[in-house]
Parts: sequence; C-alpha cells; structure tokens
Amino acid sequence: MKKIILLILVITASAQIKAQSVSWTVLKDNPLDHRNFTACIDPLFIDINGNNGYTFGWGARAEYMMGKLFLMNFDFRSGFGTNGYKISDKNTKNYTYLEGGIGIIFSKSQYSKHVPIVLSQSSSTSYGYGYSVTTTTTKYIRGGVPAKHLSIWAFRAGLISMSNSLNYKNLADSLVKFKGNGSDFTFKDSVGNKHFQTGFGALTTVSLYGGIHSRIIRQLQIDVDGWGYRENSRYKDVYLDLLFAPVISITDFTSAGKTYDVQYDKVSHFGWRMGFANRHPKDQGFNFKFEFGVRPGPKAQDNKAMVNFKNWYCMFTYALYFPMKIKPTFEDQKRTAE
Amino acid sequence: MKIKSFLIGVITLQLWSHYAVAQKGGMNCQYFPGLQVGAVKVSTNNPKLGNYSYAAGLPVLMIDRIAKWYINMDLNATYYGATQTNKAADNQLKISKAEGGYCTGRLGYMIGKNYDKLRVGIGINFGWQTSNLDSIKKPFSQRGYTALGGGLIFYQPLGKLGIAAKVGYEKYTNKSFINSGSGFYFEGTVGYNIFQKFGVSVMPCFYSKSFDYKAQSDGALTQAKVTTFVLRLGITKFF
Repeated sequence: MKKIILLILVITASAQIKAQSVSWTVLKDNPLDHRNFTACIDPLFIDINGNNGYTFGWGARAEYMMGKLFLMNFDFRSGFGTNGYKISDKNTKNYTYLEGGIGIIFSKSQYSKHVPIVLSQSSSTSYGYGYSVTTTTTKYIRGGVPAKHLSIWAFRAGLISMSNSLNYKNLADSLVKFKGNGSDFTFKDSVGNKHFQTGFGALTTVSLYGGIHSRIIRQLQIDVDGWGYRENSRYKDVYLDLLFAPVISITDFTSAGKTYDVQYDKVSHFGWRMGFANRHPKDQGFNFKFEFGVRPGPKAQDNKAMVNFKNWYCMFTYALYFPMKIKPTFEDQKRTAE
Repeated sequence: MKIKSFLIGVITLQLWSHYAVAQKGGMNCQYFPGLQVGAVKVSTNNPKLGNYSYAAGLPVLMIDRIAKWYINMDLNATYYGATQTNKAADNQLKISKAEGGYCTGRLGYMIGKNYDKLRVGIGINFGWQTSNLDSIKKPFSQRGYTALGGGLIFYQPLGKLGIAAKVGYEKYTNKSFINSGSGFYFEGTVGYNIFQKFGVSVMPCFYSKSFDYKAQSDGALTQAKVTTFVLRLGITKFF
C-alpha cells in the first residue's frame, strides 16, 4: 500500500506543468539553413548482443545529405573491450564493424507544427519517513510555438561487414560441430577436453540491408520577452531496415595443432534493425546514435519468431560531431528549382 | 564506482554542451578523444617498488572550455583503462599508464568583459583521480583518491591563436591507504583556428604529486613522488 501511495505521489508530483502567456520575437525559423554533412568521432560505443555478451570501443561515422535526392552514410566501429576476445587466441576475433550505404529521397515536405519551448525548469526534493519525493516544475509557453519543419523520407540500401567473438556456450551445444582430422564431434561432446573449453570462437557476417529512413529538421530560435533567448532545434533521424546475410561464417577452431571446421546447423540469413540519431542542425556538439534489432546469424533450435535471442543486439554510441555545409545542399537545389 | 563516475562525467558533459550559451572570446579544447605523448616518473622509497617510469597513456578524454566560465572535465584515466581492456584481459600490459582523472572536474569564473585582452579566472577542482603508485599492470586495479583544490586560469586571444595557462594546487585523500597527499600543476594551451570555428590545440602539462601511503603489495608506509610531463593534442572550437 505504501508503495502504491508513493508511486502516485511521485507520478503526480514529478511533472507539475505550469503555463503562462508570454510574447516573443522569432529570430530564426528556417529548417533549410542546416549543415548537410556530419562527421562524428565516437570515443565510446557499447554493443550488447547475443554473440559475445558485450563489446565497447571506438568508432567514426559520416553522413551526407547530397542535395534533394541522395543520402549517404558510413559507419565504422572497433572494439577495445570485446568480451571473449583474446589477442593471443587466434580462434577469436575482435569486434570490427563496417557499414556503407546510400539512400534515395522519395518524399520531402515542409509543414508548420507547434513545438514546446521551455521557459524554466526547477527541481526540489522533500523527504518523509522512508521515502522522498522529487518535484520538477517546468514552465512552458502555453500551446507551444509554431515552427517550420522539413520532413524527408528515403529508401536506403547498403552493405555491412562485421566480425565479433562468439560465445559457443550461448549456442545449442549439440548443434556446434567441430569437423576435421577424422574425428567429428559436437561442442557438447567436448566436455572434459580442455582444448575445447575456451568457450569462445569468432563469427563473421557480410550483410546487405535495405529499408526506410525518415529525417525531420527544425530550427526555431526565439527571443521571449522577460525570459531571453530560447531554442528548439532538431536534426533527427529514424530508420528501419531489413538485413540479409549471404555470408555467415564461424571461424575455424585450432587446438593442439589441429584445425577444425566449426559448423552450426541453425542460422538465420535474415535480420532487422531500427535506429535513432539526433544532432543540432548547425552547431557542433555531442550527439548519440541508438540502434537495436536482430542480426543475421545463429539462432535457437526451435526459433521461428522475429526476435532471435541468439542474435539480438542493441548499440549505443556517443560522439563528438562536426556539421559541415558541403554542396550540393538541399537549400541550394531548392533555390535553383524556384 | 568507476563506471558510475564515468557515466556521471559523460552526462555532465552532455548537459554542459546542451546548456552552454555561445560566447565570444574563448576556446573549447574538445579532446574527445585526444592524443597524448609524454612520460610519467614514479619515485618511491619502498625497495620493493623502487623507481619506475613509463610513457604516458595515448588516448585522453577531456574537455577544457574557457569562456565566461571555465569548465574542465577529465576522464583520462577511465578512458585509457577502457581502451586497454582487451590487452589487460590477455595480460599483455607491462604496466598500467592510467594517470589523472577517473572523473575530475574544474569550475572557474573568468573575470573581465574585454574578450580581446588578457583575462584571469579563479576556479575550484574536485573529483576522483588515480596514479599508478603500486606499479600495477591492469588499469582498473589501480586505487583511486579524492582530489580537491583550486587554481588560476589565464586566457589571451591573439588573432587566430588562443593562449591559455592554468596553475593550481590539490590535496589528495583516501582514508584506506593515503596518509597525506598533495600536488600542483601547470597547464599551458596554444590553440590555432584553422577553418571556420575549428582548429587544433597543443596542451603542454606538468603535474607533480607527493604521497605518503600504504603500498598495496606489502602494506609498508611509502613515500612516493609522481612527476608527469605530457603534450596533449586535439580538436578545438573557438568562439
């Protein structure tokens, strides 16, 4: 009961929204005046996945909106903390990810929509017997402020090459087969043989992907009477892809001078993913990219669902990005057309 | 603790970058990541440890921003440790080169509104740092200590150049193994604006730290002096 009361208190108190009537001057409301090229240095990403548990490392990304027709993207990641990978163990591989793709814009539109403008925000915490309640008070402009949006939809396609260490123990041990040297056996049969109990091998996949990409850009800057400069700007990407991997290769396993061809009977050549990215349309700063889905690769013996828990993943990366204006830009081509 | 510190650091960086209002007359050394070359020398009176030195860890992760406010966030030791995880897991590190901040911050205020001339600021330092006092091989096996101190900041723009200097003093505490600890530092910065708002900067840094502590290997009371000289290099934004 106490927990329910506490929960109600927290929910009701956590967002007391107060609005008030104010006037403002629009300083800028132009989504077309953005920088269309983004270069990112990712000092740290983390990829939590069914292959090896987790990997963290560094990466680099680039993204280019070429005029009104094309999108291009590049993504590279390399692990410096790859679970199961040992530099001295040639049976394992470090996490290496390379992606390149191109998109064709099939829909572009501009519309106006009210967006929230935060005037002020404050938090206070009150303590009671065995609990505490944090109250956040946010003051918005009532009803928001109209802002022009540029919305883009594109088809996209590309290629992904990925290597990672592979935890054999996450697979069905009776399906992992070691073949060669005249003595074929399963990982299950290898119990007790120290040469096969390192538990980790490596997986390499080459995938094609295709999907849909949505981008929304807005850039609203206003001067609110009595409050000063306020901004609501976004350069937001959302994408959904289907993946097909013609190549799924488990690295050969070498032990005690003998090399075995490692095979796994249940693999799925298809996967899917969904991702989000966000930055400022013009200013340099920090941004993130979040992606989740199911990669092509090993699956459970009886798995027929979309979510393949043997090969699921989610990836989060945090980057320092540099936006640049490289011709042709969306704005340039629009002016030419006009 | 180290992971929490690192996450707090990254979130704080995000908030700073989000709410920081553009200002003129300053620069932001965004070593995110940055490069570092130099050396660390540890001198002890413990016969088991002796004196040892090593090249400074290569990657750094820090922000050093001088505008109206001075903001510094140092995650160098944590980031170096993270980048060496594969090697450390395979026992391929001869010695850990983690030195400086697991998560350390500085906050200062620059006095004066004439952004074209020399400005001086004053600030406080606080956070969680580490030094390889025990000749440890794995970065995250190193012990950390709390740092608290203050310093002065100087900034002078010269055409396309931004020149900064920082001096300060810190006290180091950790009741579990440090009896007393203190140090001082000098950091210079020369930034050069290359394209639009962006450029590069070089940051020569000198740190001297002294400790009376219990060594991890034998528990003996040990005096140690850690001297660091490094050159840091990274991308810099001017405003």
